Amino acid sequence: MHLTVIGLNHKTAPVELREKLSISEEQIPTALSELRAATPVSECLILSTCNRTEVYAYTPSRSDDESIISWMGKFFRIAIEDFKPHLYFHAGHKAVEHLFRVSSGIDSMVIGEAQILGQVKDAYELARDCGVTGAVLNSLFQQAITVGKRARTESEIGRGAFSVGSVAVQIARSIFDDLKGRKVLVVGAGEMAELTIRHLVSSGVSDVAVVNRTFERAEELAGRFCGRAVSFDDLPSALETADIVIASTGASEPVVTRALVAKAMHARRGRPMFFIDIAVPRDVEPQVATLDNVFVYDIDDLQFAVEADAADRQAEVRKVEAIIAEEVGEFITRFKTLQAVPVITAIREKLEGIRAQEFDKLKSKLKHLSEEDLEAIEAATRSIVNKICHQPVIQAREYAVGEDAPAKLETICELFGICPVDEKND
Amino acid sequence: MNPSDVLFVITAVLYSAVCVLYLWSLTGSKLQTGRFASGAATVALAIHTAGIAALGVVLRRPPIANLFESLVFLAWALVLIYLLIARRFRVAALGPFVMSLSVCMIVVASALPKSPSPSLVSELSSRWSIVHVASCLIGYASFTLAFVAAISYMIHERMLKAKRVNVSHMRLPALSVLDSLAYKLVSIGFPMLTLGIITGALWAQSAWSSYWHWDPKETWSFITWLIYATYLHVRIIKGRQGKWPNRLLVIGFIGVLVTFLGVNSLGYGLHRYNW
Repeated sequence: MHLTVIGLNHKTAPVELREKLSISEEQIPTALSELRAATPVSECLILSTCNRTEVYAYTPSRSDDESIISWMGKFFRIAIEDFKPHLYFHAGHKAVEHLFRVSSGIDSMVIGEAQILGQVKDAYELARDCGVTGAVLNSLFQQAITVGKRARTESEIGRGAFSVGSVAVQIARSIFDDLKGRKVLVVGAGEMAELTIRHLVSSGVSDVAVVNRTFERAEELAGRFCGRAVSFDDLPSALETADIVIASTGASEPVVTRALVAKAMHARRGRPMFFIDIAVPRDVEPQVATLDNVFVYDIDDLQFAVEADAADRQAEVRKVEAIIAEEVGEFITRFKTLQAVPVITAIREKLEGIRAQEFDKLKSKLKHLSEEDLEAIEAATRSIVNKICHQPVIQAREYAVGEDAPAKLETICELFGICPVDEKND
Repeated sequence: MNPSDVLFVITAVLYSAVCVLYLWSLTGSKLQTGRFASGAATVALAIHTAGIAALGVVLRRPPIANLFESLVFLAWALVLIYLLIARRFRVAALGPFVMSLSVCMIVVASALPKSPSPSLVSELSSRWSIVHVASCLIGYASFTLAFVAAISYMIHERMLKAKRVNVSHMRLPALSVLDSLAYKLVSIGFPMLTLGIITGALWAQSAWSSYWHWDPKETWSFITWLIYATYLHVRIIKGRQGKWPNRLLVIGFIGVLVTFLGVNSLGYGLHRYNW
């Protein structure tokens, strides 16, 4: 028996293809029952989000992958050669690992996003309610959900990633705390400036003033944020009232000089100022940073924080991978034990069959015995069978989790002359 | 051991645990840890309060008569004021500082002699004495917390200037929060110290029949009072914020240390008994 996952995601397939292979929630029950009818799978589940479509299946043999692919071709009405090159196949512990990576969010486009865990849960509940999952997929998905939760509580994977804009907001917050009511002055009306303003405005900054050489551009940008345009000559007085200054002019010389800021700071009486200089070459004279209570960050500083954060997040991903490795090991052990179940059932059935048959023969020969005597004899035969079963059952479980499990289980089957069948099907 | 001593030991152990919890909440990702730490701190403070009350019952007087008792009371006021302000400001990051300071005070106190000089007991019976000692100590506790806020301000300011931006530094309270927190604390501490000096003068009048002697403790408390008066002047009248006023708080705290501990170790002057 094989556990397998076949699918495609944002890394392997372009959006046009992902669209064609996506299934809405309403269609999934139909898809699942068709899949089970058309292929030899004994358990199956479909996970379909905007970034991935995956079929999880528990099948009798490896070669069933092909039948699943051809079913996909039929179901999505798409030629197999069009999507097969974009598919990935994972089997056994690789499949388990893949699912755990998905549910913990480290296989997502935005690493650590939380939505995927809910989607995994929904997909599982849908398939379970359709009755197409069994012992293997049930326990696999329940564990995947646990892994997703663990990843988010035991690492910082769920914390949003940094961008230049969000770093600027975070620094502003660690200077001013709440940004509500803070005043921002924009010097120059570049595109980068707009992005940063957007971040600040969505964090509560309400008062936006724009200074630009061409007044019309200033008015245009200010209009987009319900702000006001200020003429370039009023820059000194605008600096006095601004808490946060975003500089992004195309000027070749610094526009904001130390003298200008020193004067503004004198009027501000030490109330802190935060300069975000995203212009290249820089708009804020480097010496401005030497003033007390003035904080100047240029684009390199912000970029550096973004990259440092990316490295931090990489460390978090490694933490999650360690959690996944641990959980995969746990699941595989459980999964292997599950494989011994049919063998054990077959041994029991075989021995019980023999016992029942022999006991019937005995009963017809020994008619003089009382009901009570027969019961005592039957109890004895049962106990003999149980005692004979005991060691093989334990051994089968041990073989299942050890090396060469299929061959060893096969040997047990040969010894008892049994041929275990799987619960598939109906 | 007295029942109060047992309670103080439990308090110190709990404060240490709370300190670890606060540190943990700062480095870890779980918000609940911080809330749990504050809850545990409240429980520890209740035990601390019980200890002081038990001591008062045993001694049959307010337990603020010697250095041991004053230090235990100071640690208590420190935690009480911290917990009151921590509800309003997001300043869990200061928790480890406050808790370790309080533990230090209790540990140092426990190594000190526990009986006041006999002469003091009679002098302390003045009705001004309790108000004098208690308001001075509450003032010192506020100034200590203001010092913690000012130091945190300076550390955070340096980090921002050095452009070391990462998640852990985001957990420090914002500069504006620390700045206004320090201001609020001085607004509590300054009137308390003023009250302490006035009641001290009244007590001196009734005990030694003179309001002011210029003994070292009086002189230093006056210097300390002047430093904090300057801070308030700079903050309120001049409207100044930022680094400069915070430096004054560090200087002011040195004044507090000299007044509270330094002068006593000189061994002369009218305040020369145990505290």
